[in-house]
Amino acid sequence: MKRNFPIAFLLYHTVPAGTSKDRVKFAHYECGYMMDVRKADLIKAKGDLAGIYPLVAAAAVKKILAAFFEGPSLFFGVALRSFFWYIMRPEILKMKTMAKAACQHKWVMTNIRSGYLVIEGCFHCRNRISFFSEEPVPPIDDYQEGEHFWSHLADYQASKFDIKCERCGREVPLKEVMATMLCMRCNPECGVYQAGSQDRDRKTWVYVALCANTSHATGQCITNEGLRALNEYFNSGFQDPAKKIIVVPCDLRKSVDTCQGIVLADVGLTEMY
Amino acid sequence: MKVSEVVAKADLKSFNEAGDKDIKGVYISDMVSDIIGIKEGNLLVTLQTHKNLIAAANLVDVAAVVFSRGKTPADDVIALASKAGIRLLGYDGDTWTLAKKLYESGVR
Ligand SMILES: [Zn+2]
Ligand SMILES: [Zn+2]
Ligand SMILES: [Zn+2]
Repeated sequence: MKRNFPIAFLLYHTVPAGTSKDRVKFAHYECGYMMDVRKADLIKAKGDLAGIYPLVAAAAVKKILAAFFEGPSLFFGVALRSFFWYIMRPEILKMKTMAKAACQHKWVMTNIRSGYLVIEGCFHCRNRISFFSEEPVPPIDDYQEGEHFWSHLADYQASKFDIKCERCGREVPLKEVMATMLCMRCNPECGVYQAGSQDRDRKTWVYVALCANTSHATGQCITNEGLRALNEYFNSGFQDPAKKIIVVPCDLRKSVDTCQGIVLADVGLTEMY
Repeated sequence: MKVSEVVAKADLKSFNEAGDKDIKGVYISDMVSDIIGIKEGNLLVTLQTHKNLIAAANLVDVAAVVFSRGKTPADDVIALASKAGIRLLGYDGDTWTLAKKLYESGVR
């Protein structure tokens, strides 16, 4: 279809005098399902939009000159437009948010960084913390922090990433996630084990998103949004439809010390030869 | 192309008989932290026989893993891969020769 008649008709008739016709320009872009516009058309759209600016500038100059001679009508026009915005703005914003919420997100990894997963332990309270270091050589110094005495325990090469929707552009930062770990089902009393046993199919695998502070002293672990995005991301595109991955937060884990889970970092790389 | 076709064409060893998936591409890496970002359906070529690798390979749903340079995974690694439906393969030559062989077999 060359021209969207209902939209053209509507726009040409919003102002009875027909002057709106001069202010509207139509251009057409081929697209697929929803809003997936072809790259060639995106480039065309960009060019078309760039072409509008000089026209707008010219129209504005014309309008200012006209206002100089017939002031009151311009002010009336501006007032009318402001009023329209005042009434419609919340609705327009709501529509934009609804479009994002309705999106069938197609997650991809973004901001992939490689660095080191540094693990430190306090000999005083026996807690462990970890952080991600992007320095060329990860820090190994001991230091005191309040009543804690943090010592370097280990560092492993690891990568960190965020998740982004290709369709609506929504970005989910995963700054709390230090690494992921595969649950080896070592302890039936552990919350992670239980998360998997609700789903008895043997093609279900439970991975734990590990946050920085295993003591969860601050009460914080991975966010619900991050967890949801990770689950959706890792469960897309399996060849075997029976396969399922469940990502759970690390505050479900019963014991850090006895846990047999396999951390997805380059742990034990020296054992390779 | 199916994993079984590549096994026959490139003359690869098999460490288990798990699943016969479609190969959508090849990825060569020896680092677990690097593998986490790849797309599903890759034939993963590596020297790394550590269990961590299987945990990562399962997460990103590889088509199969090929160990080059005659690397042999330990029994517990094979057991984990079999449970995850990941076919483990082996090649005695170096990774570059294997890469050429895979290409000649029609893997893209
Ligand atoms: Zn989206
Ligand atoms: Zn402490
Ligand atoms: Zn946590």
